[in-house]
Amino acid sequence: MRRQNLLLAVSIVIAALLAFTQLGFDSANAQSAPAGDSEAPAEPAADVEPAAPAAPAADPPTQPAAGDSKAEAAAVRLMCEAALKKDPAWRAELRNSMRAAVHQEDANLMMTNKKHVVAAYTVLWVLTVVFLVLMFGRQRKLTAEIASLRDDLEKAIKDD
Amino acid sequence: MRRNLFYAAAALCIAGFAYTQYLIFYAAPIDRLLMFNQKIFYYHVPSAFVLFSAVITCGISSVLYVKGRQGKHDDIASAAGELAVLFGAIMLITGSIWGKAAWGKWWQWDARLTTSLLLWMVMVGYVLVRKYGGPGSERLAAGLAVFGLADVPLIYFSVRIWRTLHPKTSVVPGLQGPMRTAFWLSVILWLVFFVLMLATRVGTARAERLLEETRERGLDEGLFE
Repeated sequence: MRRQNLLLAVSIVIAALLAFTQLGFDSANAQSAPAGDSEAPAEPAADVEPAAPAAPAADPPTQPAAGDSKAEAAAVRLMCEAALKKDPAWRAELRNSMRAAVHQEDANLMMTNKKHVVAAYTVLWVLTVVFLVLMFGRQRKLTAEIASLRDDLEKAIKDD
Repeated sequence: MRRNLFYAAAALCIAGFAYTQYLIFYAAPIDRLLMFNQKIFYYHVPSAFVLFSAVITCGISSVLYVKGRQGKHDDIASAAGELAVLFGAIMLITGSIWGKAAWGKWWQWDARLTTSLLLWMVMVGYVLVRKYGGPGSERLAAGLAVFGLADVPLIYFSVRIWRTLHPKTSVVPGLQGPMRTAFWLSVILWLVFFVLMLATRVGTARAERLLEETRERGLDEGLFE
């Protein structure tokens, strides 16, 4: 009886720990993903934006209205590329500042639906523990019934 | 000796589950297509394996009981039937949550999902008949268990027979590295856990039956009031 109680208590603690591990994992991942950006916290997001107009560089500057600005952008881009080639330290700095944002984007994509995973594992452990608790409760009831039967039997023998 | 073996296996399960959690969440890589929600796979599929084991045990024991009318077979069938309900519920709920994450829907009337739900409902029926069917309900319940047993191959081959949304049976053989280790370790542990729970439940069912028989005999002989 004491062993059963002990086993029941241990199983509940283990289930709680397992559920806690998953929740802990959930928050740990939320923290670990941006860990790399400790040197450059919010800047990368802003850095990524200016990279967007890169596509028009391929367009020939033949269009009349937007053509001027596009050609200007392409010229600026060429200047920037040349400057980056000349200064490897700046290039490395720029790359490092963007790395955190790229990492964060990838991490967010990878961790999509983490709530579903936590929910599935929680349901699984809760159902298992509830079943175990019911099973041990039934055994306890049975032990009590056996004890009552034994008493009835002893009483019957005494009466005889 | 037997008891020590039982406790050793229980301790192994507890340690093993903790280790599989580590393998699943830290060692196994994140799937490139299914992303993080693929982690549900490591316990969803083993719960299906255990469900099949429970239904097969229940079905075979029921057939043996109907043939030989031995109480021990009925005890095993009754215990396995309850475990089939538990693991069927785990499989359906985890699968449904995974479906919501992967397909955007909680449920699809896909062949595998529908046949799995049917099996679970048959097993729920089995347990209800056993509990509330009164004397002689064991044979009716045995019939339900055999019906459930017949559904197992249908579920397994449903993804090959029909065009389904559910992944095919070729996913498991294709696993590699830490994914394979985490998966097969989970399967082994859940099967050991199933055997332990079955042994405990069979013991309880047997004790309940013997108690009932003893009480009835005592009443017949005028020992008890």
